[in-house]
Amino acid sequence: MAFGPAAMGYDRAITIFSPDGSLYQVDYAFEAVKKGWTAIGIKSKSSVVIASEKRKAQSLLDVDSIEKVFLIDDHVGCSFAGLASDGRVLIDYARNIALQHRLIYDEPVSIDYLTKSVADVKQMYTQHGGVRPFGVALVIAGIDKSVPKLFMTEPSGQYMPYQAVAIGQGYYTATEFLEKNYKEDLNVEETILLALKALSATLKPNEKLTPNTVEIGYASTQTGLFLKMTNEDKNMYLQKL
Amino acid sequence: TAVGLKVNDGIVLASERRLSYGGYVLSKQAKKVYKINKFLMAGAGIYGDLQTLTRIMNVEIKYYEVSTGKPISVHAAAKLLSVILYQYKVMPFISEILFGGVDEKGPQLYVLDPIGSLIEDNYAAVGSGARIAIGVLESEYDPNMSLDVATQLITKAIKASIERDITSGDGIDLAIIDKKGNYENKFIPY
Repeated sequence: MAFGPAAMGYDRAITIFSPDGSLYQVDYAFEAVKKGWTAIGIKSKSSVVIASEKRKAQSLLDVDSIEKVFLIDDHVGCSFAGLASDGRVLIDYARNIALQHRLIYDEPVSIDYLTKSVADVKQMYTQHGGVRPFGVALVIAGIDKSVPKLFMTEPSGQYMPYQAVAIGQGYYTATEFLEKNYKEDLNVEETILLALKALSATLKPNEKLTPNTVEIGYASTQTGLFLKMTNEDKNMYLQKL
Repeated sequence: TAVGLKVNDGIVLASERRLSYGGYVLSKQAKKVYKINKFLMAGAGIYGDLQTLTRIMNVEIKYYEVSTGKPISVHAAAKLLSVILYQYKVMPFISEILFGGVDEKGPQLYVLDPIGSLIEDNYAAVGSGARIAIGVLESEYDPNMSLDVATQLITKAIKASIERDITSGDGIDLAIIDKKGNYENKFIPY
């Protein structure tokens, strides 16, 4: 250790701070998120939308069967960027929280509370010994008593509400696009289109979104339900781009 | 004996104050109508069980509100009470409970049995004098009656049970929440 680079010694156990105040393993978990497939969340007055990209990472991969947008409860959905296995576990946890809330209180869980519960688990994995942090960021979107809500949770356990947010490979380009083009006063269709445009902005010039390479989940204040879009509907929206 | 009534203008819960152990009156000061958070709870049964349930409910409601950052609804609080009662199914709280309150959905009243059945109703009576009290409510109840008339009716019902049920007596506690959420309580010596 004494002969290693300056950082050595501070990234072996995650519970150890480096002298400048960072937890290296948590920082590395953020790097895993940056390598993930892009996911975008947008909240407007009418609705909240999640759009997520799927890439054919290997030629024999059955992209159609991969899920990137997940239903947590009737009124909440979620997507993630980073280690898929970590994401899956957290989504199972979130579904459990949502169901338990219905069981005990007979009402849908609030998006705030759900997000905080998931973020609390992530936080625990930055402080306890013998574990590693979750290498995922989650975008959680839903409707709370007719009000659209959008959150993003980070590997550190931090979570914040957003009007629009992007995570994964294309986060920088998509965020730049959204900062320029975001409007609050959009209807459901416009919100979905904005999400797709932001996702398209992250693609290489020769690439194009197809119904097979994008997943869309949306919830409108009108229905209060989080729904996943069918391929036919995706096609319709993609043609409008 | 405890009685609850829901009208369009709010809810009223009432109970007499006698706590008896067989033929012996252990206390003439036993309050069986409680205000929990912004809700009303009244019950009949083992007095210690009732007190414990009110303590649990106070804490659980506070916990809900600090962890979710929003006030709990009447239905969610009643369902919570039902879940707690069911959790103790094998060694139940010996109690019949009335639970009511007012929120954005308006006045609501629930009746719970010892193991947590949850039924919403317009009026209900529980405890030793219930069968006497319910007859009075049944014959005069009208959801459009004013809160004042509802208070008079519920008083009449408790008085009837005090007259004909030996384990009821020693005055009447009343608690009222109007449709705006204002709370009021009264004691009527009888």
